[in-house]
Amino acid sequence: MTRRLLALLAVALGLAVVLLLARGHRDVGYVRDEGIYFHASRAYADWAARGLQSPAVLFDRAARDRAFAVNHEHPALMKLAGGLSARLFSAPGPEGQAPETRAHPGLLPLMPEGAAMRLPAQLLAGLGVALLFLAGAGLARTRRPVLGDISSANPASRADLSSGASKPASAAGVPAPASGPSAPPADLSSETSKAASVAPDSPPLASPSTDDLATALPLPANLSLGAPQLPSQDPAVSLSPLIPAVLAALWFIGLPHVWVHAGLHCFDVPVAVLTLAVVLCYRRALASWRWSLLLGPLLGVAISVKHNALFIPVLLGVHYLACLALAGRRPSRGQLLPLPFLSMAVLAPPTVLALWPWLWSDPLVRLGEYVEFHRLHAYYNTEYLHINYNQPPLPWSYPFVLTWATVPTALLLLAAIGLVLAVRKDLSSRPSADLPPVRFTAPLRGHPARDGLLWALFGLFPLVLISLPTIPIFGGTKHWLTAYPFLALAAASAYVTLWRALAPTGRARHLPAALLPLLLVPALWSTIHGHPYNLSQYAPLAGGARGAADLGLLRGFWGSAVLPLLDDMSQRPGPLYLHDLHELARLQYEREGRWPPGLAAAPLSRARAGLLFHERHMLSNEVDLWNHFNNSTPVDVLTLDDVPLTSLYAGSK
Amino acid sequence: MPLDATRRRAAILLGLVGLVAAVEWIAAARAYRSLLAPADWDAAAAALAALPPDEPVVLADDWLGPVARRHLPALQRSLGRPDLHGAPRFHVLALGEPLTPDLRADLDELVPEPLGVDDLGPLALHHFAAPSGHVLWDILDPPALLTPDGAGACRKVQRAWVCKQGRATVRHAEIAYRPRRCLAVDMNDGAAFELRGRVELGARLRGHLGFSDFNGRLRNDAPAVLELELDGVPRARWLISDSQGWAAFELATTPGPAELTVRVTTLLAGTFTPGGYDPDTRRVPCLDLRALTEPA
Repeated sequence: MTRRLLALLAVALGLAVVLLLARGHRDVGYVRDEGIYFHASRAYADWAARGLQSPAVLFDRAARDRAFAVNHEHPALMKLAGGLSARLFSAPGPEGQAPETRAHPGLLPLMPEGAAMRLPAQLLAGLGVALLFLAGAGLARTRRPVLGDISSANPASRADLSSGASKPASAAGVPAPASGPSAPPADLSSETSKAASVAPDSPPLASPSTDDLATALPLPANLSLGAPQLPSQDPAVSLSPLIPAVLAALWFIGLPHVWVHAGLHCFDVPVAVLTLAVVLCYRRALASWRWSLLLGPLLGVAISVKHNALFIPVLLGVHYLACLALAGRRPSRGQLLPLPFLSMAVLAPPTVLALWPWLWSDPLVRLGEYVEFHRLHAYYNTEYLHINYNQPPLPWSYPFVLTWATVPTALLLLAAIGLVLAVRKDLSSRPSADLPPVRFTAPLRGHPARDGLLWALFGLFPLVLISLPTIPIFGGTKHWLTAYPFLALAAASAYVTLWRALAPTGRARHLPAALLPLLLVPALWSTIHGHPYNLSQYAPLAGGARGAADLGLLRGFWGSAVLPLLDDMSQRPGPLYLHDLHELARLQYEREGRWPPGLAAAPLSRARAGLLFHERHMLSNEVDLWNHFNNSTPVDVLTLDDVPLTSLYAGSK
Repeated sequence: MPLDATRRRAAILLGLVGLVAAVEWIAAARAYRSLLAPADWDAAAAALAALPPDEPVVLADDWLGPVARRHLPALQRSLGRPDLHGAPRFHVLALGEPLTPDLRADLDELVPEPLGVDDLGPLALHHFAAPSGHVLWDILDPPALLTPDGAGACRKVQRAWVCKQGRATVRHAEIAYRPRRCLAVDMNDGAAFELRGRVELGARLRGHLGFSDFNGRLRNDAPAVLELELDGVPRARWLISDSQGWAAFELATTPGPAELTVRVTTLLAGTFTPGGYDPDTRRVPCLDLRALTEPA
């Protein structure tokens, strides 16, 4: 499998995901937060368009603040991108509506305005899938166990990964790896020849490319389970890179809760993808000044998507310090002030500033407001095991149980095995004794990559953070989606490691590929079946939506499960009580001609029909509907596997 | 060829993962489909229609409520029922276990005797007997609503009392995340709502008081005071807070007619917010009170 073919497959898979999201999510209703983001996106894009026509507008503080004051508690990047996407691809709204309540046609009117605004997030989801595919493919390699490009020229630097001691491979009785016939062609990379031709501590000649990402998180050679090593280049144990590539990519995007968030005009999957991108970049930056220079701006972009990214440099710092400590030698001066961290410290802040025009005036004051908003975030209501939580502490088990309930157990088990094996290896491996002197531009060149520590830090931190008793209650699984790409890579790593250790021969050598569907189908089944209500979908062992209702887990939120009720709503007398459907989301339907004409929204006291999105605490609103209509029988109920998601009530009033 | 230790461990781990995945296939086949077809609802409707109309029928699976009520109007009769006291026989429609924790809480020390089960496909109708007396009088029933005291301080408007200090309404309310039908006493801070009248008593007066709704409960913990007098003699006084949920209370009584006075005093009905006390966001105590006979 050539690197080019892998890259093409990654792009194809990413594009397929984008196409499926773009089409499939037209059946997913607009969630509460999207309503305000749509509104903000139009304001931001309008400012940008006016700025293009007359650059003076960009520096007009009043005009800028007017545009970016809308939803200024979140960075502007995704909303700006969504607004610009609408200006490019939005289809016009229905004729006859007032211009302010009608979608404006874009330059290439291909899709409804809301779908166009969702497109940038969907493109990022596609990018994430492609990155995972490439990084997953890299796990099939048996080469490059160390950072930078000297490893392939230095077989002795391969650690014995079985016992924890750092020994040359030959000393452990393991045949020295060679570029044997079974090595994937991708291993015969230019980096091998580069390594032979350049000084070990020289920066790599290649600039960052997609190609490099395929090797961004490789599996160290022959990660053992504690017994004598198998020859890592044994043809019998060679695995197609497609296997871990597909496993990593689908582990992530195949999950119902990832899928549903991936298609929304929101920030959760985009920030998960950018976290992955920053980590992949960091890993390269430890041995390359070019990647270091990219790292800072990339982190800035990630922070400009959502505040979760503010934790990235902290976690990278922990990983870096762990690498230095585990190296077992005194750090050099260059290692104490490494370029990757300098880049993040110096280049990320101006990137954030540049991408968030709200901060251009009074940046410190407004940053302070931003931090305070999230520090003092309002508590959401969330149901957990039949209890409604709306004040801390949330039980520490909450994110872990919710993860189990929404991710198939076999995939989680594989990820856990991958983390244990990789961390155990990372803690025991040492750099070879003949490391060249390092520079601050490549502070860990020649060191073991310690990918397991990276996966563990980024795969567990979001869950641990949410489990802390003092953390505000934010709600559902979307708040720790940033962990999933790393759990996906850990799972793919485990799959490769275990099959390599098992070393099947004969017809059994096809088992790793043949059994892949066994692992992935439960997740894909769950997602396909749950569409377009995957916010309410649960894993098979949790019993799906019905099982979750029995267990007392949250049903859904955001008021998005409404589209199939629109027909029924159009036949009811208005006005309509919207409940958790945000008025701005309703306006978006109206702008696109999807809202029943003439059906106005009203408070319950004046309503003649009403929506109810079922959650434990929403019972309060449901009994209000019963009292108002003097009737507790809904006229229509939207369900997922018998579980009510949304009810439509109507009365004679 | 025997497996060496490494291969054996790898085989065990892969086998474990594969086994879990295989179980997930089976679980997915069970979970990802609808269990209830229209014919099942028809069968349930027929079974419920055959029951005596004065015997409560409750749904074990609360989450199924909206769908079930669409198909089974009979379920509305028992919607918001205060508990399972006062019902010598009751029936539970369930997908699985009939006596859920919520229903056991409603039984409150009553030990039900299973009388039989009708298999209705995915649903089952369970019949129970409970050693409970009958309801002689219910504060929520229109003929039994008592006359307000206070010489015109309150006036009755349909199912509500409109007073100078607030109002009291018979309605459904969310209390402890369950629907209850009760007398919602929405009075100003410190104001009392009082009802008085001649009623037929049994062996005990049993009732509940809880607070609605969840937002109000979050930001106000002040209790309400509930007082009962019989023939002008104070007989009971309870201080009830929202942490008690749907708080049950009982008073032993001598069977026969008596002059009953019920007084509910709301200490603080507003909500505490970061901006201070907001009297307009209400947290309302809701009362249920019934006279019950001894078990037969």
